[in-house]
Amino acid sequence: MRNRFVNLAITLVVAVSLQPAIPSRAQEQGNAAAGAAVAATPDLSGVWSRLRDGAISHGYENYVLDFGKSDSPMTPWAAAKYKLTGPMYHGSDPQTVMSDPVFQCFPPGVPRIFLFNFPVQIVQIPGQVLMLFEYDHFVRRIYTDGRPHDAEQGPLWMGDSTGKWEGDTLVVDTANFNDKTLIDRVGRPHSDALHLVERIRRIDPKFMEVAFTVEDPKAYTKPWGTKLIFESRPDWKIMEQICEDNAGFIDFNKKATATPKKGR
Amino acid sequence: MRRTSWKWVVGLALLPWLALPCFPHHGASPYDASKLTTVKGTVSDFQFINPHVEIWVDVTDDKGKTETWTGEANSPNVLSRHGWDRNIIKKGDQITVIGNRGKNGSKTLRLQKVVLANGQELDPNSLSD
Repeated sequence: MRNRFVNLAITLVVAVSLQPAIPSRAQEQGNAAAGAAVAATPDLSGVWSRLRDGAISHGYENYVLDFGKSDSPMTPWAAAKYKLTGPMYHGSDPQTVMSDPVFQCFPPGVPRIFLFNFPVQIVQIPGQVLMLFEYDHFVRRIYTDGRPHDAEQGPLWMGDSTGKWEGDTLVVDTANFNDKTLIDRVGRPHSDALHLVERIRRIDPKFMEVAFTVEDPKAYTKPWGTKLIFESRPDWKIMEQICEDNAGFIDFNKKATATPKKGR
Repeated sequence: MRRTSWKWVVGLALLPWLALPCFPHHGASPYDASKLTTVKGTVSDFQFINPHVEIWVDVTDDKGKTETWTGEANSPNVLSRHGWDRNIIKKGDQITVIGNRGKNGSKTLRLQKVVLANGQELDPNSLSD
């Protein structure tokens, strides 16, 4: 009797232990498909910082505050707006200079966020590529699962991004922007018709290229764009970065320990 | 009553201009990049925090009068990648700060260089945007 129980227990243990090793046909097919998808997707993951001084030796321009003279002629609408936004950088009046929305911690938009001297981490997960910017914790979710742009939201500060792979290149299509952000630090405007296309690829194991095209018929007479180069920074981590200033912070610690004033 | 209202209007209008460091992430625009000012004194506070690292330096002149200068640098993230950390400067340290003074004449500097008492030079790498 005891032996029958022992035999039954051994049989059950063996059966249970074998279970994970005998996947169903459906599981096999699913895993194979997922594996093929992962294998076919180029790897852009990692922490990247934009090359500035070093960009020139790689055949790229050293952009600091703006994208140089790479734009196209502005429409009268954009030229009129630029008369107001341009002095935010070139002007000397403090109120005008400070009216740059980024100085008030409003989102910088795209492509301006690429101009900041803070790294970005790219994370690839099924159906999405995430850009985790150090600057003020901005996250861009680039959906690569074939979905269309979300026509029910917006207009958005950072736009709505979808992506697809073309060989070794991630092609990111972003639309549904608001017209509150600027293209760069010197005030180049864009409209809510901005359509941004980024082509992102590894040049070699150490460097990545982001080539972007600005299509905005309301603001520019023809599409324009440029190329940026990023360096892999495997030894960097993305740190906390906060735009909001401390001067306006209400310190409850100090309030709690302050000597109460006598009432009048 | 009317005079009081005008004081409020003028005061609010001037507030951002009088207090430079109140603006978050304001870049180098409020500072006079054409001139460098050097200040030597005793650190009364050092905050290695976002959005800008700040150093307060008490400077005593020949007549014994002490004034506090504020030196502002980049984000601690950028400075960390240039060898800084939260312990690199301490209260009571004798330091020299060199930077561009605020265009409004306040005792604020956009730091271009910090020299510690032992002669070590720190690069505040002020470019961020």
